[in-house]
Amino acid sequence: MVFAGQEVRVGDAFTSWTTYTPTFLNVTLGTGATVTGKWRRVADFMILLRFQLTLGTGGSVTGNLGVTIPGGLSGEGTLRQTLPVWAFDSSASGYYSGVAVLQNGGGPNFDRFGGPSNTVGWNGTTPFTWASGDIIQGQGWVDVTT
Amino acid sequence: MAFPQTPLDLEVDLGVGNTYMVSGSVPSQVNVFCGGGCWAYETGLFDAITGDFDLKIDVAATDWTPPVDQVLIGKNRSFGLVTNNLSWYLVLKANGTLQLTWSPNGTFASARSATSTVSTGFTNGSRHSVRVTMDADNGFGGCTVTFYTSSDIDSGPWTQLGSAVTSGGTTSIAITAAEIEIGTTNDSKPGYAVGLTNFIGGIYAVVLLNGIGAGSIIAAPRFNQQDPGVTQFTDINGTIWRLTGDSVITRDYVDITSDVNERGKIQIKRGRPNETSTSDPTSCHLELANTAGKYSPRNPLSPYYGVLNRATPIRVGVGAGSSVLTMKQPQYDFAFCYDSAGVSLTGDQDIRVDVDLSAWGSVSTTLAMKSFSGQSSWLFLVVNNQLLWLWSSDGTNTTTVTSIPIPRPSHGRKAVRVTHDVNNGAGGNTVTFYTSDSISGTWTQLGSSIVNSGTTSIFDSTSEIVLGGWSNQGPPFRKFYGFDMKNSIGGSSVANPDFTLAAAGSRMITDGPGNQWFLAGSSEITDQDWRFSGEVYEWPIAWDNTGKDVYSQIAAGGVLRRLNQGTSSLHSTLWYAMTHNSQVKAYWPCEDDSSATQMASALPGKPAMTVTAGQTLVKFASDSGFACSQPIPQFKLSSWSGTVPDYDNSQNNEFNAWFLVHINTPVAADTPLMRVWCNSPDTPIWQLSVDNAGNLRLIAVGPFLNLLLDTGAIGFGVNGQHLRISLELRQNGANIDWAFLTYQPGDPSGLFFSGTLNTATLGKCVRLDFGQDGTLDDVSLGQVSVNCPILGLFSFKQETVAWVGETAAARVARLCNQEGIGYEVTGLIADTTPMGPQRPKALLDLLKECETTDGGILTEPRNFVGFSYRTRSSMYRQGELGGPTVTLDYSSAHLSSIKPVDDDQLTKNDVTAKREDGGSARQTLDDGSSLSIGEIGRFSTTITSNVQLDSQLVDKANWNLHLGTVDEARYPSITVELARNPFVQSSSLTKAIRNLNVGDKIVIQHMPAWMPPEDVEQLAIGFTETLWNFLHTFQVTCQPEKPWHIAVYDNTNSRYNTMGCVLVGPVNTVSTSLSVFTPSGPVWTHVDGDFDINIAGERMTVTGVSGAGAQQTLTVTRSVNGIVKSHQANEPVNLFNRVYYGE
Repeated sequence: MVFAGQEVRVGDAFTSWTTYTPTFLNVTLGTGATVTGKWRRVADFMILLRFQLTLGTGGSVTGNLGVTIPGGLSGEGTLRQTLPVWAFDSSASGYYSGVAVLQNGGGPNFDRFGGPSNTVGWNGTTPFTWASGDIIQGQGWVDVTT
Repeated sequence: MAFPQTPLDLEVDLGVGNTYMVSGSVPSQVNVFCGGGCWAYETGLFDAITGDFDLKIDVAATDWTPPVDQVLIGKNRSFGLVTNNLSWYLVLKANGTLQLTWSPNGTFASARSATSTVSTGFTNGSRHSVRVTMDADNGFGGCTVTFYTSSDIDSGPWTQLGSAVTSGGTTSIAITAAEIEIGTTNDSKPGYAVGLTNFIGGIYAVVLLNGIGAGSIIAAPRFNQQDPGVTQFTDINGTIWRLTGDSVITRDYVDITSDVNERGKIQIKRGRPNETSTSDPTSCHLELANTAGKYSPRNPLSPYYGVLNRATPIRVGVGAGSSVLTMKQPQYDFAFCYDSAGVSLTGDQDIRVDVDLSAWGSVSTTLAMKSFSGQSSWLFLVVNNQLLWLWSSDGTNTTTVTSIPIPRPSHGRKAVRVTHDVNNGAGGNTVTFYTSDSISGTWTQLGSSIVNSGTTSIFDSTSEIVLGGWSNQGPPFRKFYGFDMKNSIGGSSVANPDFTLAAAGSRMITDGPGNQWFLAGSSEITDQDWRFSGEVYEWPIAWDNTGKDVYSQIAAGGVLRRLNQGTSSLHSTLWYAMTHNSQVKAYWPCEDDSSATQMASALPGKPAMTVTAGQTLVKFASDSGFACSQPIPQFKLSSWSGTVPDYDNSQNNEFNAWFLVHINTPVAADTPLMRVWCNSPDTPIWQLSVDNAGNLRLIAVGPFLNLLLDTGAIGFGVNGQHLRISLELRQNGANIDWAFLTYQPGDPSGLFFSGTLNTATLGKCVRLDFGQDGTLDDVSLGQVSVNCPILGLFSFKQETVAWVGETAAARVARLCNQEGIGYEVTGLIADTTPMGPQRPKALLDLLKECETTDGGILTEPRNFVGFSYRTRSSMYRQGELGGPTVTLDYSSAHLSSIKPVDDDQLTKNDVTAKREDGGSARQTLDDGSSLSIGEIGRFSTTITSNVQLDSQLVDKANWNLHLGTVDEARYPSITVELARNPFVQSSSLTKAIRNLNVGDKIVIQHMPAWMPPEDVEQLAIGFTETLWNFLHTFQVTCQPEKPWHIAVYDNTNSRYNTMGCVLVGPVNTVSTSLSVFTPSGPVWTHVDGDFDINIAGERMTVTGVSGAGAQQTLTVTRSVNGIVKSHQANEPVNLFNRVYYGE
């Protein structure tokens, strides 16, 4: 929040990073899993979001993969929003890039992941079979409603 | 000091000249609110003339051989187009002769006329009396009309103009229903259709006698005996004469410069005298030689006897070097030329206007037009800071295109142009807008050309070309420098008045192609740069011991001084709306004070509403819940009744009765709220009642108390709400349509319930009763009216919410318009602060409330008597965005004196912003900076304003905190003498100083070595001008301008500063590589090119940035501002041009 008469400073547009713990949808984290996330506001109605999941022992993806944005925020859903994501298959040392897609109409969840090309709907076996040590990362701008 | 070779080209004018009616309208403009003249209607008196009569009229024709025949006076409605309404009229013909036309039977077909055998031969603009006598029966079987002229309408002598005109057959004058109209065709277009236009010039007096020479006076309006500005007056017979349209009674100024004593300095003060938050009244003091007692009020031998009063107009000017056309009224001041073949272009258009507007962002300003209803060729307007071009190919249907916003500044002189290629060769037509700094300058295209489908053409209308006027929504004060209409795009001119070359005072000029341009209303061509316009309020007379040196050191002021003398509050917003609407036939505001015993009518001469029962119970002025009204009364079991004055419902057999009501405590049971009595034979009573649940119910009762209608309880939920309730009744054939409606002020919609009562007669509303059974208790009611035709539920929507949400500048403009005070707004009206309700306060308090709420400057203009408002946002970032900036050079001896002061006069580091009747917000500065509370102590203030919402207060508080904590010197006095050589040698510099206005930026370069090296940037907020012999001295009061450096999006001079960057280590005086550390937030970048930083007063230019982390290396050019110094570790590193958020 800025007020009339305040000097225009770069920090006005960027708040400090705030940590949050994202919830990954349709995921069994497994023992020793690590879930981290942080975000900062970069403008009115826009945040910069980062999140990462490393599956623990026994971890798996049980359905369509998804992730939540920080509590109290809601993704703006006039148009579909996407967020760049990246996945690492530890067993095959394979890298997959894709996008997370905000739920239809907006809301707190990126409720599906997709990519690379022609690969839609990341789930337990797509784009690979998820297991302990596999990683999901995402980072990007999200238009929010507040 | 080197003095100029000649004294100041000074002019002092006093408003003590002749008084007359300016008549000069465009007849075709009646349909668009222009046009005008003077008229009266006296059936018995005027109808006395049926034969001989003697008509004299004292006039100064702008053109005694006008382009089109002009009507001097007539009793003639519609020039034959409405039958049987022609009695007589007198015309000044294009060849300079006079012509009398009359009709024995009222028809145009039977009209007879007589024309003087010679022309008057008078010099254009000169004043003469002309006379015509009608001898209806000359004793020789005919009638004789004789024309005369004289220099004196009353005492003559009269010189016969040519020969008497005798025609066969005696005659008579028809008695008709026509008014007597002076200087106008009034009904206009019919007159225009028979080749007549309004008279252009001044009309001083008219005398109409029944009979020749010694007959009784039928009409004698004496314009020369009226006060300037009056719009109606009575003559010796008590006949009421009314001015319409652009006709105005004015008094000439008299040049009294030769009477100004040279020993006395003329001193003019204007604006804020110091750093106070409000302007002082403008003042002007000068000394007049008064040896002959010319300036002694009430001296019978003074040529100005009777006109030296305490508001005598005065103005002081210096020669401007060229002329300009000025207009003071938005609607009725304009210039025009008649239609001709030369200006009737049906193909490509190229139109250019050079104009100075105080507010390019006003709602609508006419630049030029050739259009009236059904005769529309084109209009060129400014609408909300965009150019608008409208054209018609058939005279009726129009097409409109608009430009992108006009570049800033949003005030001042600009030349604008539109070209219209009606056939672009690709099956379409193309409109292109341009701007320039002058009409002969280089044109810059304004946005992309606008291509429209289909070729087009421009209708060849009979309309005049009009400059200015028409719209009443633009800035009243305008300056027109020139107009140019080409015969094709880039072609040769077909109309090009250049007002810069016109003779001062002329009312008509001829342009290059030969078009004659006439001025209407109070438009004026002046060659003066007016430094003061006001009113003399003090006429002291003094003399020396010998009695040979008699003088008067007069004092003059403006409207601010007059209003400061004390005025009563303006009425409530709804009162103003209701009393200015002709549909309101009865109106009781119920705003009476607490000890009132009845509710006064606000309509003059109409009866009050009386308290018919419970006289001592009614609680007047007890409910202040409606912002649009003064407090209204509560019933407390009383009953009221109001008689409705008779009204004409012949055109609209309908009415509605409405009122504001607040049912604070529900009534016990179904209770009559309002009973409406009509003079209907079958349905005399309508009653609206309310029940415990807030339902409304309407019943209609017949003459035998027979129930005709009962709606039963209808759910309106009125309890607890502040509502307008309206009962609408309309005769619809043999039936009555009825409806009752509720509306909560501010809501987008209301509720209604309606139906039809068959076979019923409405009649007129004759009486209203309220609470007639004495059971309304905790119920407030007011603003009662009966309206015919029906006023819609949402009528006066803005007034009903007391103009909540209106911007501050719009309120200044509206209030000044409402109170008939001239004004100018500098800046974008829409870009000012939204305001809360307009409460009943004195006008000056309301205007100052606008000033405080927006944060601009309210003062008085130089050019006319009125108010000038400079918006806050128009002072943002001047030079780059906001308008003229004066740059002076200390080293070039531009300054006579300059006195910087570092003090705490402006300091406020603890600011509370409060909303009237609302919340508050507080902002403090306590961050360790030089003016923060911990460093200098607490400097607190509370600002009460009338912002619309509490959420605006935090910005208001912080903006004022920002202004109060600027760490800069202020310059209470910067003095410039225009007699000094730098100004004598530079007319542009002189002009810049003269044009410097309140709120403008002033820059002083090359300050002496003992001052900080940067340019001094200040805002001018007040002026003292002294004119004396050769000298013209400006003493300018200033305040720091840096706080007004508001960031501009995507502008290279608007950058984000970092969040606390510092030097990592010490830096010597020459190192060009600086290691810096930014503890948080994004770091420096050079992506957008070089930028300047400030380290401990040394200005450096950053030419490169390396490193993306918190610690970076800046490559710099040192000592850009001449400061050479070393720096210590941890020295703050900031942008040199720091910018701020605006309010």
